[in-house]
Amino acid sequence: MAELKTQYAGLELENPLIVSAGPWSRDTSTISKALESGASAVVTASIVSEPSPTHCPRLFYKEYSLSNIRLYSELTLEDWKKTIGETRNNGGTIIASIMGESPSELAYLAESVESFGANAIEIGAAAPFGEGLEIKCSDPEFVFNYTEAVTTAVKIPVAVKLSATVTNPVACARAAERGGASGISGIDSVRAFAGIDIETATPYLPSLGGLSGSSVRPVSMAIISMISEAVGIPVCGIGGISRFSHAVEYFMLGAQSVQIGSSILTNGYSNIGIILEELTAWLDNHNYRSIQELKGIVSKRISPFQDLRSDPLAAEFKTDCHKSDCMHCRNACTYDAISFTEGKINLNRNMCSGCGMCINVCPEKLISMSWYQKG
Amino acid sequence: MPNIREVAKASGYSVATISRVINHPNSVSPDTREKVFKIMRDMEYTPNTHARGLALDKSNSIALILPDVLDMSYIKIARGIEEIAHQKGYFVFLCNSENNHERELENLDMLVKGRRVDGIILVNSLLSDDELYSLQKEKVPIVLAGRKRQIENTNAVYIDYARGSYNAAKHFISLGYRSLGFISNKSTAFEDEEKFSGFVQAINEHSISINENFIIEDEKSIRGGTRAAKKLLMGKSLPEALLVSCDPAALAVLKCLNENEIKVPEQIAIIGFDNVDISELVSPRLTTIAFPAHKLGLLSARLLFDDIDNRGYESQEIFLQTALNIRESCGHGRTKY
Repeated sequence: MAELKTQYAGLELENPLIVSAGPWSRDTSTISKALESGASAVVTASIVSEPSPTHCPRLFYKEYSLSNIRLYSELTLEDWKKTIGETRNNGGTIIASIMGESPSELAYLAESVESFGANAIEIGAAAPFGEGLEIKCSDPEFVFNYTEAVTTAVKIPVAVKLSATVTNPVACARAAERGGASGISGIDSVRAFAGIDIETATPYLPSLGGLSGSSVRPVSMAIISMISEAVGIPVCGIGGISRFSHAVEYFMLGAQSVQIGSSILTNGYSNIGIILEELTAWLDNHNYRSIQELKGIVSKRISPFQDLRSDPLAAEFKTDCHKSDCMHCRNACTYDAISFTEGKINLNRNMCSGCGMCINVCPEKLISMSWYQKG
Repeated sequence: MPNIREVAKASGYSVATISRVINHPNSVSPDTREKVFKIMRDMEYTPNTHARGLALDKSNSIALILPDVLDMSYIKIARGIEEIAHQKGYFVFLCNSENNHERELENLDMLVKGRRVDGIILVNSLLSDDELYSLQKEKVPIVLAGRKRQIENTNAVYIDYARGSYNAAKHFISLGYRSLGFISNKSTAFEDEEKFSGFVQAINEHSISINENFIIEDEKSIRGGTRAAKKLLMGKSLPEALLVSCDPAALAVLKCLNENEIKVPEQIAIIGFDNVDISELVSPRLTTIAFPAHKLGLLSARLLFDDIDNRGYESQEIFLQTALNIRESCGHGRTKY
């Protein structure tokens, strides 16, 4: 059976599935459920000096995406002493997520959670909240300063969770590594607005919040692909993981572990066990002996745009399509290469630019791309 | 009220056991603990905490010295401190220094000499370095709340007030205002000096000249704000934008301008300081510099109890930011972020 062991934040983990910081790791009960379901470690809901009042409602779910206007714990630091103590006593691996506004505040929180028994720390200094504060999460010097302040203050390992809104993830990840971090994770939820019930002209949530779930996965994968080549410390992918295949994608981009969060609210904690089983079976079926063998194997196939070489490709129908009323491929083609004539759909390969869109939209999957030298 | 011996007699346990139940309940079996507690309840016995404190050299109380107990933002600090103290089973003595150096020293003298408390939190203290050194020699744990650490090995949680007014003045400048005024608090408190210095720094960075008539000092209150506004209105012209060092004064200025049919922010933009709760209930809603008063209280109390409990940390200095709460009075339109 394939080996699932891996590392993150200086910890040796039994498997690469960690539960991320969020409502699903808000207290002893939720953390215990996560651990019992097979997660190798749990990142606590983000611990802050001063919990804010709870808003109702604060979660909104639509189209596989979760909007959340509460991104940190409602428990006090004193409550976390008990919670971390209890979950550690049960043998769980606990990564305490801390959030603060200055290096000195983060260092204090870090010392506190270390004394409570946390195995490691994850600094989440860049959630899309704290309006009016100078968070400066895109400033590598600031990232370095807070990472160094925390790694100097504690003996347990420290990881840094990157924001989706940083414009320079590589510089920030390197700054965290330079500051002594033992791991980088990404991404934090993305600042977003949940939407509006237009019939009542009411916002679904009354403030800007953090978006997580499927829709942020491509955003996260972009950042993971960039940072995993830039740093030597283990990288952990976060964002939109609800199936084992999503985790495999992150591994292939260079992550060594992943964090699962919002999908727990729709699939339950039991999904953690299912993902682990399916991951193991898939690795075995594909003759991978460990997840380490997947690490970054696709990274080398991703190039900066300017380095892309262009093969002459054009779309073609693998079998004839006679659906006169299906407009998907015709709508998708902005090159007028697809038309319906003589009782079937015709694709003019000389007019096709090889964009690939028709392949994505064909409900019957009848179209493919192949080498074609225009003549 | 019965004493501990009577409780011992009634329960059949020794005085030592009763004492252990009171002071170290975990060292006693749950059964014994429950029996003793029940008898204590039945006899309406409560331990004499003062006597207990004398024996343990602990008072189970801490002191908080506030510059002004009527100041709404200071009361939020007190609230944060009390929350933590309550959880730890401590009382909080509240002392008022009236922003007066002598009075602060008097308070400290009574607290320290009388060994009345296990620790002291000084909010925006006016103590000199020498005075802090001599306080340190008394071995009473202290935390400086609000201001930077002046001497080594002191716990402090501080707020960069200068940065707050610097950001507010920069915000005015970014909105296109070039004639800026400042209403400052008449006091010797460092926070008021800092608030003004941040304002001046922003002005200087943009080579904007200061009209002395637009710089007015008055007391930190509604009355002070009213007087300052009247003084401003007596001048030949008004500044385009006005920073007021505390919200009560800023609200008084708003009212005064309203009475004189001067529109805010169209004719004069205003930013206050402190984010008191009512600042968003007025029209136009007051843009204000918030400082995390409650959080300052929580963290100060945590540092103090870390010290009292000898958790062995080195002394800490924690920095907290101010935040600019942009609402309507600064002329930023409907932008809330």
